[in-house]
Amino acid sequence: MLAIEIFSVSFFVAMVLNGITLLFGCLGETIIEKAGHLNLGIPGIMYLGGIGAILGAFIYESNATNFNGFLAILCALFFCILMSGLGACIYAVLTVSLRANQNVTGLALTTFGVGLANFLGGSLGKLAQGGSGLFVSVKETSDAFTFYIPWLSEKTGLFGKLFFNSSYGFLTFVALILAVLVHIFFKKTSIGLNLKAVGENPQAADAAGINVTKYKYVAIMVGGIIAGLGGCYFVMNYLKGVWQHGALGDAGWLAVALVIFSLWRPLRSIWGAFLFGALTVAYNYLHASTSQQEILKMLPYLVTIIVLIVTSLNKRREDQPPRSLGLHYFREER
Amino acid sequence: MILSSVVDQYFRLERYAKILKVLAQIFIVVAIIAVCVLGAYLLVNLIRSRQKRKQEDPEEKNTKIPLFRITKQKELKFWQKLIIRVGIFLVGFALYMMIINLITGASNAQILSTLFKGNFGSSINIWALLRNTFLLFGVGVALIPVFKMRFWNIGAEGQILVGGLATFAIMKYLTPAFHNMQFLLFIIMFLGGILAGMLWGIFPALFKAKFGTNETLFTLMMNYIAIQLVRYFCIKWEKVPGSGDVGIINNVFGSEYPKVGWIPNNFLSSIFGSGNYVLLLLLVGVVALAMYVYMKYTKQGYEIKVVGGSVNTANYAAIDVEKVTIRTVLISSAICGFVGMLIVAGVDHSLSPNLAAGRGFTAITVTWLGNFNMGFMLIISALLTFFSAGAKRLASDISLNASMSDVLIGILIFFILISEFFIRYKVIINRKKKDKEELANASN
Amino acid sequence: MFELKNLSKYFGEVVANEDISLTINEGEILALLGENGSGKTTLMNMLAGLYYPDRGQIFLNGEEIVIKSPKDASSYGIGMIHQHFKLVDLLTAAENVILGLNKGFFLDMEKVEQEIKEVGEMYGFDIDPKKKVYNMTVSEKQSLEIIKVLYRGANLLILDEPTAVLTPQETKQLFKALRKLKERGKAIVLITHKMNEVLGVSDSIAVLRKGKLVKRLATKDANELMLAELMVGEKVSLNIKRSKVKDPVLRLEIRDLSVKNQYGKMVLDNVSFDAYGGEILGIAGISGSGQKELLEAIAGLQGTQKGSDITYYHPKHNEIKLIGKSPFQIKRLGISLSFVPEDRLGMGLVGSMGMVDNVLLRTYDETPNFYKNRKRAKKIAKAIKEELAVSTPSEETAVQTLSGGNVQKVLVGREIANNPIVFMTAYAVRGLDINTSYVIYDILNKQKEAGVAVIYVGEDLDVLLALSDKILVLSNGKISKPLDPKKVTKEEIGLLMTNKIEEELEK
Repeated sequence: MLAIEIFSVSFFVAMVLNGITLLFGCLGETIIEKAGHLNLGIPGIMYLGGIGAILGAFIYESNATNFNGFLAILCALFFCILMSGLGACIYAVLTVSLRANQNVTGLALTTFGVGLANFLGGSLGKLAQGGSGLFVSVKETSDAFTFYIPWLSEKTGLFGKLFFNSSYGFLTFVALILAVLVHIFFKKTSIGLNLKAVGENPQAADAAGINVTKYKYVAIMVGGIIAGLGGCYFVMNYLKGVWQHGALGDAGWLAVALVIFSLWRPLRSIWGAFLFGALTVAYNYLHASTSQQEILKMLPYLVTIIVLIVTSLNKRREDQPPRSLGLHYFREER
Repeated sequence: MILSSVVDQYFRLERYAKILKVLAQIFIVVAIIAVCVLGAYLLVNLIRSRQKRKQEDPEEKNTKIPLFRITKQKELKFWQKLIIRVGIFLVGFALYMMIINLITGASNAQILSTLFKGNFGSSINIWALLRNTFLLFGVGVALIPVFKMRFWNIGAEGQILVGGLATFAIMKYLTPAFHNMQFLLFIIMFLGGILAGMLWGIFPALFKAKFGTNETLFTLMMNYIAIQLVRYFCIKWEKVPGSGDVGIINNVFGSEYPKVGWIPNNFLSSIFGSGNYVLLLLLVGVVALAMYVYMKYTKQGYEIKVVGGSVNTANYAAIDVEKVTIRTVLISSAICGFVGMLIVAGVDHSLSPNLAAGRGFTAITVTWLGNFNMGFMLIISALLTFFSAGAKRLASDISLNASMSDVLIGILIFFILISEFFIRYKVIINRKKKDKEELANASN
Repeated sequence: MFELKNLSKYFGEVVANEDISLTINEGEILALLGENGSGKTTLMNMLAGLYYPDRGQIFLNGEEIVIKSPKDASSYGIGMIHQHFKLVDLLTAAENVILGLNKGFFLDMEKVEQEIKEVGEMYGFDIDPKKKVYNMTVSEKQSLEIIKVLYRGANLLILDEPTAVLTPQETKQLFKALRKLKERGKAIVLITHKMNEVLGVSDSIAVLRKGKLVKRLATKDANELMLAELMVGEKVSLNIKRSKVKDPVLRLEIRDLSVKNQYGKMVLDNVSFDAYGGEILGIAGISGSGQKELLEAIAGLQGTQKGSDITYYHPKHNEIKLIGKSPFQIKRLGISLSFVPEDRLGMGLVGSMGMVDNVLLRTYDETPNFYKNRKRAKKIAKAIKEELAVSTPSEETAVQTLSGGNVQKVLVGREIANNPIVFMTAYAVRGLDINTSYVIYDILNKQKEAGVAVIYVGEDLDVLLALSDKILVLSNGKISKPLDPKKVTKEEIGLLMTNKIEEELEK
């Protein structure tokens, strides 16, 4: 049943497009979890980011007389950040300041975010196409997002097609660079070190003069916005600017799984993202029956569980979730 | 030419205005949420900073309680809790109305009447409300023991799904053999449902008990495996190739065994009319009652509470913590599987990856925010079901996007979370009272 | 030079510190000596910024300073090494040292590691800056904490019971380093209650008792006996009656009991003794000398080393080996073992439950029924509430909301209601007022008269002497010979507690 198509260019591209979406979500969630917060609202935040981008693009496209790609991107990104920031803000206030249960808050945020995104998508669809508009399309902005250098993408043969494909756009490279930056952030900067300490042992961090609450807020906000970019990337690059109900599917949960799979390591999450991306699209390229495809889609989760079990068996300290993940920190306890 | 360009421009402008309006609505909502949350935060900070000066008791430092201390609420009087909950819920509800009003322009009376129509408009609506309330409540009940034990089972969704899957498979393959012995078929379906649920619970439980594997992440992943498994069978058993739809099993029309394996919906039809869900409600009620008795009156329920309270104390009291962990998760996942069976055999008569409909996740909220109190849990289940059904009706009647119901549910949960904070906080004020008592004792 | 003037701190009605005036000089090791609860740690916590004094002032080189937070303390050059280390164990030593300092955006670990090595060499700490904290031994962690404080520019180092977790060799090493620090002009405060250490390393001694400074003297003018007297105070005559022992029966035989803690340190080292029914066996010792492990080992809650042996002589059956048995197995054997642990809410009780449910912890499994029977527990809870005068709104109120004293009453009451044959208590009267303490002593005596073997781990030597029929002294995991409380003096026990060899006493 393995077909040659698995080695096709289009498979590779689909893998990258899906993988990069997950990479954004995973990087965001990694930062948040490093601060000791398990944010199960990431799927909701990614939806919010996705619809934010559509909203921004839509507003720009319907008002600009001369379409300017750069401005369209700016507008889309602005709204994307605004929406995902809103989601992250709700989560931060509830879990950090009001000490609400992280799991309940996160799941409610996912309900809220997915609902709000679909609601806005539907409303925009109606605005765009009248009565029964089922989808919104911001083709022009999507094209702007996927701008490419013709020579690099088209004239360099297979190399260009694989690594500078015309559908990658700049965000693909932003994600990869971001992964490296997050890695450097945690390994080489003092703020990154402090953040790790906050998630590991907030008491010790507090004693060392670190403002735990501030760090948590910033981490949740920044992480949320990065995850939101994943939503933007998916709708602009993979869906070509077309939003339909439930556009992002399960990408958010895959991103959460990827965090565990990558053992909270940004560099590992790069190849993890491509692996997950490949697993999510593989069914299209294997001559699998539609039912077998669904079994294939199970693989990322199964692999994640295996990783989870193996790490809890080998007890390697570096592979464990951040110590205070899911716990609140009361300063008075000192 | 000129005219058309003017029209075009006007058209664009109007479009712009519409978008602005939507945006304005969103930002008003956000602003209100932000103000509420911020206000709550400031207020609490104010009280706490006052509190801080008073509490530098070394003993208090040593016996300082971990976060989970919901039981502190026992200190609050029932009516106090009620006032806080109802008060904050009403704020949330006002916001709910405001949002709908802003978006659709419908009057409050219109919204209210539509909400009620959506839930009480016809006997079908009423039964749907009762049925969905109880199904959600049932999952919430399943989560009581695990959460009491501080085992974060967020895999109820998957456990429901596999329970439903097993039930459907049994109906599909065993109906011909057992259609004359429906009772036996029911028993097999029942066993199939709970065993499947248990199968989904045993792995996280085992690994948690033996190796301390993180159960939150484990159970979360199990959900998606279950979803994919159900999708697989949906396609495998689809009626029309490519549809992914398995159709209604043992349909009234066109099937050999009409309604075999269906939970009868004409139970006591002389009183409740036909098409009722009395039997389903009764079954959930029995489970809830059994759980109530189990948690309150049995040794096992007691052991669960001790393990949840302190693992060290459990060891001290000669309780086998591993055994209790595994046993409890099995019970919880079995009930989830049972609910899956109820959904398939009693409501859907079909299989779909959406059959759990997020109940596994929503139930976490129900149990947690209901604070393990079945009365509260039932009320919260009813409220969530009411508003979600109401919002669906609003969608059709005054053209509100159906997804708005999720948004509104999310907002309501946020508000309940806020109220929970106030309830927990109140408790700290009570400590003061205790201190005074102690002073009085000491001076005596 | 740090100067404390009339520092006072009250916790409610309890006097933690009152009018303490003390000078801490640079280039000097000051030992702060006192029994448990004498206010040593509280006093130093005020310097470290964890507590804010209710009254009094702190001066640094003649200028008054205000310390509100650990950060303030750090800025004045005060660093405290707590008993519980505040380290992030996933990070390396060097990373822990620079945590929160934010020196530049990028970390220059090589430079930091070099600096740490230099600090270490200067003061004689052998530490690998690249080593992760979770791989470190306790003494390494302690060195790291000291280096952390030094790196942040501390001139005053406060060490809270630093030797409690160290082996003798490691202690020696630490003291060597402390002397070096002193030579380099640092001021050092050593909180301790071990006299040999005080005499060995300090230059000056301040003795605290019951929150007050009793005496400040130079170490060269001090000797153990004198310090012991200062520490424990005048002999208080207590009105505890001691009933006569009537035909004691051997109940517990403990032989060569050894326990290692999680860090691999021997916390109990070949401990052997017998406990008799109808006797109160008092166990004295500085807290953390192995009392907790001893009682937990008997209760089946503590893993023991090979060769350890605990035999229980059942009144009806033959002897039973308890070693290696879980609490569950011990219970199944029909051994009625009551145990009041030190950490009441952490081990003996479930804080979120009421009295009744906590009483049930011992009784719920008495019958083979599926359902629990709360009737008996209710009755017992009510009796406890009345007899011990537990102040609680109802028997169903969560015990964690009660005061420490009331919590203890619940626990002791339950354990007595369990009709024990062996009754072990750790600090049974800690936090109780005088009247209730006497109630408890009374109960213990009644248990003894009923033929129960009572093991009483205590901290108040006066009580131990008045109550016990035999006294054992635990010191650093080793146990003394049984002493006769009618013949031995408080000071002699004090010396034994602080590691003085027995022979000297027998002279």
